[in-house]
Amino acid sequence: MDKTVTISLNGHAGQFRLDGEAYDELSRYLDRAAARLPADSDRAEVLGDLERSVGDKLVARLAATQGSEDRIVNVADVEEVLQEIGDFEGEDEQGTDLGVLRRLRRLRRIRAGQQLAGVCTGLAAYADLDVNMVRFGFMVATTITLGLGALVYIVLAFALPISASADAPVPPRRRLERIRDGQQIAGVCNGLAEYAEIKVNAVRTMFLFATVLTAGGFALVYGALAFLLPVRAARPIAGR
Amino acid sequence: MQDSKLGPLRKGLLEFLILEIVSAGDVYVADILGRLATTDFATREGTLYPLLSKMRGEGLLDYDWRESAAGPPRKYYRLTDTGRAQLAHFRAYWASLTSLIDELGR
Repeated sequence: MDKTVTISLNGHAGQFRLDGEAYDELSRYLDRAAARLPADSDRAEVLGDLERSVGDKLVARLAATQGSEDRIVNVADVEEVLQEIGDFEGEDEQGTDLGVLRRLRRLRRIRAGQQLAGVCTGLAAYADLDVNMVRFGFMVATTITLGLGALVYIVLAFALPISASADAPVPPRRRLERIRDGQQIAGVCNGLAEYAEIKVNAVRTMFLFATVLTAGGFALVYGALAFLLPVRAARPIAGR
Repeated sequence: MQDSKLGPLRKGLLEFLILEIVSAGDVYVADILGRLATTDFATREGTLYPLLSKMRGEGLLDYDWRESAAGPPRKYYRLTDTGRAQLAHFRAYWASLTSLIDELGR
C-alpha cells in the first residue's frame, strides 16, 4: 500500500497523488461508468464530466485539511467523493438498467440466510450458486486441506464488507481500530468485531481456532494487529 | 403509498424537471443539483451526467464552456428550440393529466 500514483484529471491543471488503494477505487468506478456508456462520441464527454467533478471535490477535500493541503489522497477521500457523486446510472445498449446487476456482482458477505459470518451466502450470490453447494465445498476443502479452508473462511469474513441482502447496496468500508471498551487483551477482537459486524465472542473463537490450526502462527497476527492498529477510546453509545 | 410504485414515475419525470430548470436560464450542473436537492427528486452527478448527455444527444439542450472564478471552466446548459417545444408539450400534457385525475376522482 506504499505505492503512490500521480494522476491528472480532466480539466484540472494540477496533478493528484493517490495511494494505491485510492487509485484502484477510482479506476474501478470510472471503468464501471465507461462500461455502462454506449461507445459513441458522448462517452468520452460524460467520463470527462465525471473526472472533472471528482477533481473538483478532491481539491475541496484537500483544501479542507489544514496544514497538509498537499497530502496524498487516500481511499476514504475517494470513497466519500464517489459517494457524493453517486452510483453511475447509465443504461446499456438494450436500455436495461444495470444498477441491480452490478450490485449483485460485487463480492461481499450477505447477512440474509447467514450461518456464521455470511461468507458462503455472499459467495453463492456472487457466483450464482446454491448456498448449500458453497457450504459443502467449503467443508470438503477444509477436510482435505486439514483445516486450511476454514482459515480462508476466516480471512474472507474480515476482508469482505457485509450487506443486509443480495440486492442491498454494499456499505463503504469503515476504519479498523482496536477498541478498549470491553477488551480482553489488546482490544483487537473487539475492533475486528465492530469492523466486520460479527459478534465479538465469535471473533475470539475464530482467533483461537485459527491459532490452534496454525500451531500458534495466528497468534502472531493478533500480536501484529495489536501493534499496528490505532486505539479508539470507547465504543459509541449507539452500538449493540 | 408504496415508494417503489412511484419510483419509475419519478425517474421519468426527472428529465422534464431538468428541462424546467434549464429553461429558467443558464445553469451548470451544481445549480441543477442544488435546485433538486431539497425536493423529492434529489439526484447526484452519477445520474445527472449521463442524463444530460442523452438529452443533448436528442437535441433538447446544449451547453457553452465558461470560465469560473474557482477551478476549471464549467459547462452552462441552455434549451434548444426542440427542448423548449418538448417542455411546452410536457406542460400541456401534465395539465391535462392533473385535470383528468381530478375528474376521475370526483
